[in-house]
Amino acid sequence: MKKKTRIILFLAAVVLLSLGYLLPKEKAETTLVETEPPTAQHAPLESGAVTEVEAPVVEESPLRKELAKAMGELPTATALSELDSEELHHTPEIILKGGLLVGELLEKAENEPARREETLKFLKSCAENPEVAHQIRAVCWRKTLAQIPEWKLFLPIADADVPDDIKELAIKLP
Amino acid sequence: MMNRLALLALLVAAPTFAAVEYGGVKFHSTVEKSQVRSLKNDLRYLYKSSAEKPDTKFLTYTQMQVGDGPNMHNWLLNRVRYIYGEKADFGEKNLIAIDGRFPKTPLPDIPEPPKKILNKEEPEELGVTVMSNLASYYLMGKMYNLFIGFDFDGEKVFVKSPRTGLLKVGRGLFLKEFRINKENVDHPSNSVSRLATLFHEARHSDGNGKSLLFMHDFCPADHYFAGAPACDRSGNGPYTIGGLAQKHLIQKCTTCSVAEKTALTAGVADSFGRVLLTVKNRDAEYKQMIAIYTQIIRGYEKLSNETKSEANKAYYRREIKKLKDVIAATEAEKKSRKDLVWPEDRNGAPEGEWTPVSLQESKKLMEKSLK
Repeated sequence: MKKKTRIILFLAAVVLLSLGYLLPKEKAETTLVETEPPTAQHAPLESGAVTEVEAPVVEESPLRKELAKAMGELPTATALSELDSEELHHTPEIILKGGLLVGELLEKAENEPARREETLKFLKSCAENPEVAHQIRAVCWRKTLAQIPEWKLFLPIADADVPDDIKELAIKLP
Repeated sequence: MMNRLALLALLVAAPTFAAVEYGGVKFHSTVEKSQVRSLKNDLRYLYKSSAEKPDTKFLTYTQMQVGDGPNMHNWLLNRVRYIYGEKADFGEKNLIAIDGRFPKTPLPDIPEPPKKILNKEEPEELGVTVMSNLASYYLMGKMYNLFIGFDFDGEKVFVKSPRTGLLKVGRGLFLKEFRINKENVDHPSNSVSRLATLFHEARHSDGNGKSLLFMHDFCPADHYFAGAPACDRSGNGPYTIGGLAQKHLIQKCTTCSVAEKTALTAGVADSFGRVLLTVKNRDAEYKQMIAIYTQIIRGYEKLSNETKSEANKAYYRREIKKLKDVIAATEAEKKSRKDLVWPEDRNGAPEGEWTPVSLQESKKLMEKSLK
């Protein structure tokens, strides 16, 4: 066999062996991804059926950008502490504004089911966010608990980082 | 002499100014016409509310038998009778005082502001007036055995009881930034918000002795409104009443959007968050929490049964187990937790001389206005 041919055969063997090694590894990686979190099943909704929330993807979708922006616009605990005594006797404007903002997102999700998964994650994040004003966190938590069964979506909440006093306030809300 | 001249001037001028009455509530000529129109609309909205979906806590705390419109209107009318506008002058020259006899009950403790507040500079501009109850003139009079009074468009009104029901409303109640529905000041969502404020202020007309006026307390250092006189230590005070009224009315608002209801809910959270301490008997809350988690578990079990992926099944089952642990912990806590207490109710019975308005009378007054 000519030297050149041997070299080519050798390189081809190396490439083939590499592929052979990679393919099973890829499969293993795929299996690992499936264990946590689960991949989405896009089965059509049946009556009473529950669908899964899709695993987080790396790119920022327009909806995620919108929700991230909204999170930044929610009233903060710091902003509340800077209000004058005069402004505090009745519900501060920033709290009403925050409630409206959360409500608008809920309304959009009611009308567009494709928004519900991300909106639900937003609500949970809002409830967990220590920078957000107490009252709004309570509203977010209340809505998280209400919308999971309403929208028939899966979202892990057992380990939610929501303080007890916010959970207790949330339970008193309509 | 000056007082007599002033009074004479007012009596002469009386025909020029006429108080408007609606549903038994009188509006002073200093209340802007647009504000009168909105408040009339609010009272009409309230009166026409159905008895469906009563909030039981609202009924308990207000001691109403039925949470329908006529009963709510009657409750308000027994605490709010005269509404002044923001520009009404309550200065010394307009103040009338006569000898008064007061019940031999103690004066309420006036909360001491924390040192931090005492040392704080006064703001350059005071905030915009939303609404305030003028029942403090009863307390002032009680200290000096005087009934303090004012002219109300020709009618002399002496605050012989906080139940005389003098309130002041300001543009803050109607400002666009405080509206739920920004475009329509008379949208039901804005009526709900204003009515809740009315219920809150009306509560200051209650109480006797130590609980007189249901005065607010300074929020403690660990509260997000630390140092502000914006908290209640009583379980049945203005923030509870206002919050419950709002919660009750949200459920009746059939034309409120999801966004508007959520904004109103934030208002409820704000009110309840100012009531210091938490519920002693929390069985109902714990049961509700457990029921919610149980419902979620059922959904996840169904999902687990339906999925073909073993990996997903395992994931759902882990979450179900965690939620079951949360339920178990909640059950245990329900049995053991005794340290958190919802503040005690204060005595809400009114003090002083006043004439109650029966349900029949208040209905008549409102029906007359509705024609």
